[in-house]
Amino acid sequence: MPNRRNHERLKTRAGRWLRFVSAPAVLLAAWEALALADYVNPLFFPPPSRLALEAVRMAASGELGAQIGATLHRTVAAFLAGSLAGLACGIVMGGFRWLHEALEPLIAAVYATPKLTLLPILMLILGVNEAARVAVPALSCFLLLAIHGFDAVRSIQKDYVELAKNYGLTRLMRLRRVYLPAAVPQVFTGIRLAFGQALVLTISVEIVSSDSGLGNMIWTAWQTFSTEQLYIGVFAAAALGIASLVGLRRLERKLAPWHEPHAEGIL
Amino acid sequence: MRLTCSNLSVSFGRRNCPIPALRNVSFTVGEGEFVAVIGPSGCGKTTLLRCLAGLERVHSGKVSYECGGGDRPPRILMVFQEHGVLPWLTVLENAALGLEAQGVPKRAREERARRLLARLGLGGRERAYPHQLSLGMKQRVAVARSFLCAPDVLLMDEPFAALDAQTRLKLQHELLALWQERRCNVVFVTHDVDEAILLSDRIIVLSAAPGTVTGEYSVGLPRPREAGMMLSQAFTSLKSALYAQLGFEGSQTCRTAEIMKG
Ligand SMILES: Nc1ncnc2c1ncn2[C@@H]1O[C@H](COP(=O)(O)OP(=O)(O)OP(=O)(O)O)[C@@H](O)[C@H]1O
Ligand SMILES: [Mg+2]
Repeated sequence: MPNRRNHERLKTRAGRWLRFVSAPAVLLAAWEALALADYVNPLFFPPPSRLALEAVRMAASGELGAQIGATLHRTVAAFLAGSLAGLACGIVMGGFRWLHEALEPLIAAVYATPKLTLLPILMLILGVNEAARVAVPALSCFLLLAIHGFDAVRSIQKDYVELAKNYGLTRLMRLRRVYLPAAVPQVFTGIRLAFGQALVLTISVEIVSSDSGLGNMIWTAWQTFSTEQLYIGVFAAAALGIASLVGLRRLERKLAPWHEPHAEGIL
Repeated sequence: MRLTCSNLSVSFGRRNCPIPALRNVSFTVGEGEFVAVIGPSGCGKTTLLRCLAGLERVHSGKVSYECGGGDRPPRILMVFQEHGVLPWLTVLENAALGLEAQGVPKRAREERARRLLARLGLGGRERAYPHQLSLGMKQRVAVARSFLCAPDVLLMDEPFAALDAQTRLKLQHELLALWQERRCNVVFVTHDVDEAILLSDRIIVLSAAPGTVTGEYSVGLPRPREAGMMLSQAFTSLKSALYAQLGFEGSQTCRTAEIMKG
């Protein structure tokens, strides 16, 4: 019997993967067919097979890896610095109501501003350098984690804290056994959003002002009309987005195995 | 240990328009006594237990514990009606949480928790998380946790309300057995008259909100109690007295029947 059950699980899993890749696959196949049949201008829309060959060439020469590496490096740096500071800020705000009241309008204002518009100002402050480029995505991460960290602290069930007190847990034990685990899911919502924003903003900043990274690669490709590289850059960015989402979700499942699973997804 | 509650009053709401929840509640729980509290929903039973546990601000009146010469502060533990288990801890960790707070080493506390969980019918589910359990199973985890801590006073808030009759009987039996082994004072809140009689030495009846004590009944049944006693004369006469006290007299039943007829 276990064999049969395994088989069925495999089947549903395979089925989910199939559905997952089917839409992009159909799209790519249609694209390929249209380009090969000259229905669309291959100069504007080079067939995916040619993109794949070019991607392999760029990967082999180390060019693609270098650009992805540069973008990832900035993204991760901004994400870590911004998120950690933001989380700390959110938790402190959760502990002191007056601080939250004082900072809330500021946070709301900056949150509503398109972050890229702050790049020139940050460059005036920090200079035209790497720090200013990373500061834009970092700021976004900071705000997201400040907001979600605050919510996480605030939305902890009072009942659980009372239970812990009633059973004599010390302050430190309460932190470890109640506050931290209770905050994980909400904080992770913030973390997922923050990483996505960090990636988007890093690439946007690279388009505007940088000589490396996927954003720079895409913009240079546009200006030199190397459409193949243009598409490869966009696909690489999308792949990074998906990979980070999968990785973070796995991490969350490891950190909060008790959290009721969301609708079963493929990632 | 002797628990005295005298002239306890609690209200909620704003200061200028308070909503009373308890009014002048007085009773005592003697050494090793099992007291049941019954009353309609919303009459303040949970509030009363929270006062006894020191979780609620008491507006007037007093709750006091007289220790029999012990040097440590009394251990007053609550089995909560809702949110009684921490969702991020496994069944085993939840059950052993109180022992962990007392500083019992991991190996020892898990061994003790495992044994009690097995007794309460949760053997083999130690690694499960609460979201994988039924409501009744979660309540059993909470009961296990409280008994493992060797409480002086155990406050139980409708722990078996969500169970089917069969499981409930079994757990009532286990609860009595555990209590018989380690006599602590118990204040057991329930809205089930049968349960109150079957388990307790004394029953305190609260009125509808704001709750006040409207009656106290001694349960004369011998111990150990058995389910078969529910058919005895003593049981049924006490039961009808309690129903009358709660306001389900013949006249009222008739009136309800009339309303339902239209
Ligand atoms: N934190 C609170 N704030 C305001 N009102 C409250 C609060 N807690 C309880 N009350 C009110 O006090 C009254 C008694 O509530 P309590 O929870 O003690 O009832 P209960 O007897 O336990 O009911 P049940 O049998 O349904 O559990 C209710 O009217 C309730 O609305
Ligand atoms: Mg209640």
